[in-house]
Formats: sequence, C-alpha cells, structure tokens
Amino acid sequence: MQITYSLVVVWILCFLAGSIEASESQYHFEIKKVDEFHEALIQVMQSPNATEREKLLFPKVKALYDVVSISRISVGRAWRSLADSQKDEFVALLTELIVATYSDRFREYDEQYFELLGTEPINKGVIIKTSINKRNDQLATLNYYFRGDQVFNVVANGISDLSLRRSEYGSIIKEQGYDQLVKEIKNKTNEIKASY
Amino acid sequence: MRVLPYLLIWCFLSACTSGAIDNGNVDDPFENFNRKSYRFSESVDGNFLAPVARGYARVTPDPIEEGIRNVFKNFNNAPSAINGFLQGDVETGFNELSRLIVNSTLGLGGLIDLATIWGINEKKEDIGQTLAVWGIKESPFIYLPIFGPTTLRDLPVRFVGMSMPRLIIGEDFPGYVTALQVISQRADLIEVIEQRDSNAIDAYAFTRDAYIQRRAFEIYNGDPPVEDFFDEFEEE
Repeated sequence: MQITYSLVVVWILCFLAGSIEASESQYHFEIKKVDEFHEALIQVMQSPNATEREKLLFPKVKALYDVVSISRISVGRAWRSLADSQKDEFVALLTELIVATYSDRFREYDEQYFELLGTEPINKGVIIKTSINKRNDQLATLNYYFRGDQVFNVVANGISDLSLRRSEYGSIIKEQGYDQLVKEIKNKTNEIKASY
Repeated sequence: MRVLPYLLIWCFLSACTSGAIDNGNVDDPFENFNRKSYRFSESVDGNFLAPVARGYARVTPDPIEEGIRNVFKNFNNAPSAINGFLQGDVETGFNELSRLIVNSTLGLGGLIDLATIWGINEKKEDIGQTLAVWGIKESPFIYLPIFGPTTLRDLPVRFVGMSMPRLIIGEDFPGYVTALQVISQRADLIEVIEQRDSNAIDAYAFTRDAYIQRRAFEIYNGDPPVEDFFDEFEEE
C-alpha cells in the first residue's frame, strides 16, 4: 500500500514537472525575448552615460515592443482619423519616450537581477511573468503581455502601463486635441532627458 | 423604517455601478470637481506635506520609521480581519486576526511585524473590497481634497483608516498620532509620487487610473481579469 502511494506521488510530481517544463518550452521564444531585454537592462544599468544607455536600449525596445499597437490603443478612436504620416510620427515619438523612460529608470546597477516567475496563456498570446530583485528582496513584479511575437503591455505590481497611457492620452485628446498630445509627449521626453 | 437609510445608501452605491466602464476607461462623472480638488491637494502637498514628509524620512532612523509604519499597519489588522470574514473568506479573516494577536503581543504593540517574519503575510482587506465582493464592482471616481483618490464605494475605507488608532487607543488618544500617521503614510509615497511626476503627462488622469487599477488588484487578490485591449479594434 505504501509503495503504491509513493509511486502515485512520484507520478504526480513527474506529471507536474513535465507540465511546467512543457509550458515553458511552449513559450520559449517569448521567454527568450524577455530574457534578452532584461540582459540589456542590466547592461544599461552598468553603462557610464545616457548616450550609451539610449544606444543600447533603442534596438531592444524596437525588437520587444509592438509600438504600433501600443500607439493605436493608447490614442484610441482618434487614431482612425490620423494620416499615415501622423501615425508614423507618433510611433517614432512614443518609441523615443519609452527609451528615455527606461534610460531614466534603470540608471544605477546595485546587483539587481531578474527572475522568471511563470507564464499564463491569454487570448492570442501569453503573459511572461517576471520580477526584478535585489539581494533577497523582490523590488517589483513585471508581467509582459505578448500578442504575436511582441509585447503590447507591461503590468508592474498590478499597474498596466498601457491602461495608464490610454487614460492620459485619451484625457488630453478629449480636452485639448491630438496636436497638444504630440507636443506634451515631446516635452515629456525632453524633460526626462534633461534630468539624466 | 430604521432600515430605510441603509437601503437608500445601498441603492445609491448600486446605482453608481450603472456608470459603465467604457472600453476600460474610468467612470469619472465628477471630473471637473475632481481636477480642481486634485490641483488644490497638490498645492497643499507640495507646499507643506511633502517637505514635512521628506524631512521626517531624512531625520528619522530607518528602524524607527519602520516601527512607526508597523504600528499603524497593525491598527488595520482588526478591520482587515472583520472584512475577511464578511467576504466569507475565513482563511483571510483568521490570517489577519493572527497578525493582530502576534504583532500586538509578541510584536510589542505592533512595533515589530513579527507575523510577516513568521510567514503570516498581510492580506489588507477593507470595507470597499467587501462591498465589491458583495456586488458593487464599479463606482464613480472621486478625488477628495487633501484625502486624495477614492471611489464612492471606497469612501468608508478612508474614514476607517483614520479612525482606527483613535478607536483602539480610546480616551487617552493623543492628537499628534493622527499627524504622525499622515506624515508616515506620505513619507512612504515619496518615491512613487516622484516617479509619477517624472513620467506622467496628465498627472491627474495617471493618478486616477493607477488608483482604480490598484483597487482592482486588491479586490481580485492579485489576479484581476485581463482586459482585451484589442477588442475595440477587432470590431472594425
């Protein structure tokens, strides 16, 4: 009886271990993309200056983030009425803002490290769940939302970056118009860069 | 007849849920008032509260700051336990009760958060979350002068939080405790507010959305429903 019970427990454990491995190998591509981005963030934190940081970040941000979708969702209904040139301009501006924000936030290296916490399938994609830690403390959880092969949203400690953008940008467009939003984004990017 | 005022309050709060969330955007019918209240509160904060909180954080040794934070956290274990039980979550109710007992006794009146060290982690339930569990999932956003962001459903949470120290200490409650509580809480937000100010384009909208998201995170115990941002575009 005891041997049978032990065998059942071992079988269940093997099954679970297999399931976790299967889940991670199923999303191997997305996990690898996030890992590469995190490695870049470590290098950014160890970089001597802002120019170096931005040079490292720009291609990584473009590779990881679906800035076109982020732009479309955060601008909302107004996106449909924009000319193609305006859309291209907005995507470029938003990419620059994202790079500047990362460069500003990840300035100092103090033995931070990233950890994979798990994956969760969603409609047409997956959430790659990670955390950023320092020594034994978890500083924040960072969940990357993939649709296709790029990220459209990051949720940090339960707060969705895309939801915040949509709320802010929608508010500015409603009160002051799309052109004012473009101006505000440029001003914010310059402000962040001035504070490096 | 005694039931009538409570029924009216319930109806009011339930009616608030008719303010639908439009494509995930926050229900903000009082936006004009809220923005004025926000600007006034930021002015008071910038000129008075934030400098005091920064000074407090600078001069107070970290262990003492942590001790004070723990004492105020411990005051909230009692309403958290009650709300756990009200939500039918007996495990959480007993968890918070255990925290209260352990920290109040062995934790020297709450100064040491022994419960967390022993693995009895904080769950932070409150009356707003209870009302959400009971059916009031959405509620209009309101920005109270000085007190900050809340929703109509979550209004009682503010007053319970501020009243707990007085209720527990009783008649000998010294007035400076409220001031210390406010300063301690503001000091905990220094970095968060600095990050908001450096990243936000519309700080009011940022604060509003961040608050609503945070509440959803708490109501769903860390696992809120995943919004389909692409839904609107797939209809095109």
